[in-house]
Amino acid sequence: MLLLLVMGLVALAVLDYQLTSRFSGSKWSLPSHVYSRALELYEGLELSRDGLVWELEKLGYRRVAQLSAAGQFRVQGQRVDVYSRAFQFWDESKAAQRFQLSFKGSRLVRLRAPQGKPLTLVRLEPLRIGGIYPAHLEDRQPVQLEELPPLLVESLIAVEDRDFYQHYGVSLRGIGRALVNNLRPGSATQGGSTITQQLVKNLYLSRDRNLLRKGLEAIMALMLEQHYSKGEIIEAYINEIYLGQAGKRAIHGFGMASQHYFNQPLAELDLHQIALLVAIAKGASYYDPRRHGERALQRRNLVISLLGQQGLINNDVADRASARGLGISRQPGTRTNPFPGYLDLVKRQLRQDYDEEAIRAGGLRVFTHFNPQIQRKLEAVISTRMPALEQRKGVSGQPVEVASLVVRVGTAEVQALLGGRDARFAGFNRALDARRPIGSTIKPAVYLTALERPDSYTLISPISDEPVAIAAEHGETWRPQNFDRKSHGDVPLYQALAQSYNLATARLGMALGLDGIGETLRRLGYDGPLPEVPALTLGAVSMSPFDVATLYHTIAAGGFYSPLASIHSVYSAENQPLKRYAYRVESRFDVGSIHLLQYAMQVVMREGTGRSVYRYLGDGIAVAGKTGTSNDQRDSWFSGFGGDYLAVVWLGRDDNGKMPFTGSSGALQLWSQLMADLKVSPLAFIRPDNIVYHWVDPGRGLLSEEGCEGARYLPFIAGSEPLESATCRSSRADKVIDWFKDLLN
Amino acid sequence: MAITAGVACDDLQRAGHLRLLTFRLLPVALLVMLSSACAPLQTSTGAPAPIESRQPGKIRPVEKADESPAKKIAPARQLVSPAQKAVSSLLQQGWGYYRVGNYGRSIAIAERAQRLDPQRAEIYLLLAKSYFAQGKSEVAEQLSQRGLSFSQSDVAIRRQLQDLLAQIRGAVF
Repeated sequence: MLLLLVMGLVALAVLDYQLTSRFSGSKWSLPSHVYSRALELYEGLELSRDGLVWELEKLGYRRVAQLSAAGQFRVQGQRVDVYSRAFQFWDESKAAQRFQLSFKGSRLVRLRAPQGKPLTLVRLEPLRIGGIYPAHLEDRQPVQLEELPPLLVESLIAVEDRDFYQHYGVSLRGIGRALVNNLRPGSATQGGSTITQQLVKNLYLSRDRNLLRKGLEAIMALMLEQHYSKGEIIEAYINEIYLGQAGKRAIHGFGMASQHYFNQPLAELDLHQIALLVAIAKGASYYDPRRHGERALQRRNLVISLLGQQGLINNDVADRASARGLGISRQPGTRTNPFPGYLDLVKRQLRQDYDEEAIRAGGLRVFTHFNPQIQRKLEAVISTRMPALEQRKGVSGQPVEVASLVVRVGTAEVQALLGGRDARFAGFNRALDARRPIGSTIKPAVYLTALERPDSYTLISPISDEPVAIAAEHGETWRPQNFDRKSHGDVPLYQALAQSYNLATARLGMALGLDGIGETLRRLGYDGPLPEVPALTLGAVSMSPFDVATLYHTIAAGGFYSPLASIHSVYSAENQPLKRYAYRVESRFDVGSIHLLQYAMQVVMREGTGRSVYRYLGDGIAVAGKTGTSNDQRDSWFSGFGGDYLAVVWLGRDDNGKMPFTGSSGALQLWSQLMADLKVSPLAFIRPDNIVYHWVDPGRGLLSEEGCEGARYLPFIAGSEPLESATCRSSRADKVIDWFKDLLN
Repeated sequence: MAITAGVACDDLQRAGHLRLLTFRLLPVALLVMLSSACAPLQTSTGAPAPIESRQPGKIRPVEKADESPAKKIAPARQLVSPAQKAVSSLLQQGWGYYRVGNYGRSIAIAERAQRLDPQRAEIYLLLAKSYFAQGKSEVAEQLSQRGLSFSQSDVAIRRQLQDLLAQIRGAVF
């Protein structure tokens, strides 16, 4: 007997330890939530009214006739009034704020406080763009008691456990009342378990329904009440309870359920919405408002009437709330992963600093550089332009795949990314993992290697585009060809790049040496394998679009390398800052050499293989870039940049099959449309100190003058410009002669 | 006379071709020459043969003269960012934090400003000074260089960046 008593006491002690250790510690494995950039608003910003409204709706702001609380906006013509939410940013704590914005075309032209006082800068909170989930796929957003909207706790207690504040964990009166109630027709079905018992069952016990488990549940409920306050117990219950399903993801707790059903923070919910969540708590599947709307509505109205009966609300309020619709969002506000390509990049960069457990279950809040406005435009370009391109070229069978990313020039922030044509498909991420031959995309690296040697090369150095045979591996001979299968004699260096001449580039590359080109690629930021074969000069190296974006960003940023970044900062589940990812930059090239290269890459766009871009862009928009086509047109690349955005677009087949697209006719067309939609700003083509400009005759390699035939205004590294002058033959004279010829013919 | 002089300074093949046709279209030619082409043709009359030091005969410019002329690609002035006012306001805050030694905050604010206008040299000055004050000289040096690449239109900031760079490198101007 004594032994039994001792054993019983030991068992109770063990139970007590288990109970308190879990409850006091971290109760749940919390998923990490990933957020976009915060939208910064200032006068002059390139943003349309519709663009702002779209983002506000994504953030769960409600369109109203009169602003009365945070999380609302009002639209009147081209004016939008916003009542923004409070948010804790890395560098400041922002209070909820009212402001007015006026738009003209696609520009924000006026930003004012409600009294008309001008505002310089306002930012909205970032948008939640996805989550990284624990293995059990429970998703929750814990909330604290003080954050809860009025009436939520009262409603729960009224419906689930009326004696909550009176009992000690188990309520005999509750069991009796449930028995009587359940026998009465038409009344709300009531269980006999208290909220404490339900919490114990969910947190600690299996779903078995047997007497032993029931007994254990009661004992543990009593013990829990001994250790913890009623407030702590109800808070845990509110965060634990299962409230729905989003695909494989289980929605737990009212915080996440509010996002799931209403796309709004819990604190902003109205009475009818709170009542619906309380109704769903009875049985998330049975009362799922998206599948069983009528049933959920009846249950919700029952909850509302119960609140009225218990005097928590008056009859008018109850009637008004009951008359409202369910008010749920069209789509779940917590779609698991709407931007799988970008989230994949975030996860990979997170893994450099956090272990898998912390990422999946540590409740991290990850703030990124993702720009939903740019992603939206990128997705629209691909979904609308790709079918048209395929149709024009008669593509049939398996559709051509796409990968693309957009990077902010200067900060190296990846702002949008598409891992495949189906933007929502979380599969093979071609933007990061499709390593494909880059073809002529490599040429800027070859020409940069030359331009870094101003004693030997300038933009007008003659490069032979005559046929060439180069000894390759295994005693073979490599004989590259131009795309038009012709040779073009000697061409000025900048034109060899602009016209993407293979013979000239192969000759130049071999003269420079493969080691030199390899070193340039490394300094541009490429750290993958490099085949040491002559064909490297024409892009016989496989890279991902991300790799290519890294290289081109170094060129776009004036020769300063920065690693492409997706993450801005990471916070703990308790909203404490953990890590900020600072901007890093490293000077890798002389700014003058990069200026020369940028010049030549602009000629690509004005006169060379990229010139069709100006069907999309205004003539005043200077952009630089390069087409790329691999052997047999298996890959179509375009990589380029303006003043603010850099984008890489790749087209190809997953089976590496042939396509009817070159870099120009495929990827460039999508790139151009994207840049037009983004309203890219002109390239910041600022002359560095060591650069001088001269009018020259590139064909003859001599100084010339403005207005002379064939004269071109070209940059040189000071000291490398030609010293001798050509005789000026006026281009006007030439035109007159041509006019005569035409007339006579 | 005008025709003869003009052709003499030009390509001989063209001149020959023209001579054959001069008599047929003399009135038209005279009119055109007088109205539009006399001056430039005469300026090049009798000029010495071009000095060719780079085997010009072998180089053929790709674009043809009769194609529409390519737009001149020339260096641009630094554009004024629409975010200029917002960035100035952030920089003011950032310098405030820098002055009281809160470098973490000054860096965070400078980076926020950088996102709005990555080409404003003063942002890099604030970043570089903040990192230098934290003892991160290498980072500060790179940021100073980046700032200098944007500083042509701002002499005062340029001077400060140069001074900072000299300080970082332990040199004195």
